[in-house]
Amino acid sequence: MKIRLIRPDDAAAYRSILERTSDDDRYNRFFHSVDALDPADVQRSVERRSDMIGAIAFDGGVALGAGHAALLNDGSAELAIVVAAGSRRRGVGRELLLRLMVELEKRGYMRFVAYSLHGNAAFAHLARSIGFESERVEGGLVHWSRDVAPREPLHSYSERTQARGSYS
Amino acid sequence: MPTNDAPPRESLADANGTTICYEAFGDPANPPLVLIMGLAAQMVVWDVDFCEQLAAKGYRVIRFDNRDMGHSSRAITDGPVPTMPEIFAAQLSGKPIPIPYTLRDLARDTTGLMDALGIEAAHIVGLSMGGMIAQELAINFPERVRTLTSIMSSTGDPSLPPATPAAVAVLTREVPTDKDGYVESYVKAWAVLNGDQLPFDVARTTWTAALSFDRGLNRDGVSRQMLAIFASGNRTKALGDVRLPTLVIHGTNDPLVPPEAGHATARAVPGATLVLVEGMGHTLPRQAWPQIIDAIAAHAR
Repeated sequence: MKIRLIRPDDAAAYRSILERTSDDDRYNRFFHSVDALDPADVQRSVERRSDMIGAIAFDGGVALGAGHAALLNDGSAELAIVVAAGSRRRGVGRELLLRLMVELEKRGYMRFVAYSLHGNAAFAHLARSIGFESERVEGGLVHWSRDVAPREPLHSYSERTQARGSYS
Repeated sequence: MPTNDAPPRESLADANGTTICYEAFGDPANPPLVLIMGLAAQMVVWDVDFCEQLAAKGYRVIRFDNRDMGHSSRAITDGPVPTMPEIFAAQLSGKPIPIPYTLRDLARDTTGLMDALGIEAAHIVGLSMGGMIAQELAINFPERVRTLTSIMSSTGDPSLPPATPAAVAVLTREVPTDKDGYVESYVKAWAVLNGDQLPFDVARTTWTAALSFDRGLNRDGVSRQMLAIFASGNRTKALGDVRLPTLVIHGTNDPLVPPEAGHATARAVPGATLVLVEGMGHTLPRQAWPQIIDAIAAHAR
């Protein structure tokens, strides 16, 4: 399985993931009914945007799932995933979330949030397995969050090499 | 003991496509010292106080969850993963089992983490399976290793004495899936590995067990790590070519990896130093920390 950041040419792949989901699956993802897939919505989900990043998982040429992070003004990011039927219970969603969180940490986001329908045990299990904690239940939604450590300054190889003399 | 109110310390890094969860202690400007954990154990088994005491010696200490543990990536494999008893049975019978990854792959995860953190070379300290991964780093990526410390580990030489039956039973036990059952089973297992010559810290082990449960268990991951150990063979010959300062630390009362394995590791690496910790089993009891931390600090210069 390969996971990479989503690209504008992933529209067909993203659409194929959504086509392999049930009404309930899509409600779990979007919290509203998505009866027909609007091409404009699909395209928006794969475009390069300043307020969102996405990741997509493939096995061979088959798209397995996708995740998105909405970049919020308060410095946090809201994550959500969808995994196609037939590809679940393999850890695809977990890896998508981890991939997104790595990217978000690089960009300086230190707080991640997510929401799940109360009773969505699969997401609850997944969220806890990557360090999310449930804050509260409100309006039928479980509010999840995870804080990350402040990033330490990275040293480039050359800086590290130059500094090495002081280590020994 | 740390509490859940402690400030967040975890971060994530992309290690060649595998996400590795890590924590850092000490001044980022200090020389890096990377701790590699053993089989089936999360980074939290490196006690926070141990890490901070080591960092106080002048290191930037990094602990991390190996692949398939804790908050790091889990391998995605098709089909059922064999249980530990099935793996041991196959090992005895010679029945082939698909190998998802090897210790060398786990060593690459470590170099990938170092890449992500901008670390060219680090003092590498591995415990048990982590010691084997550390040895793989020294063998295959020596330019990334300033010094090697192999704790309660082995060369993989199959002629070395085996684990005691009680220790094997720890590895092959049925692990409960409920929290109370898991914690109880974990504490009993680590009591066996600790042995009875140094005190066993029930309270701290209970806390670590509960934290490990909360961070997420991965039975298949434990099996995959065990397969990686079996698949990686005997490193004795390759260790003979290692030209890095090497420290081997082993307990005299280790029931899982008998002290003969520590002697074998020290013999295999030219110029290696062996430190035996009197009475220590296959755990890191607090009473042994001063000797171990001082030995690492004297070695990792």
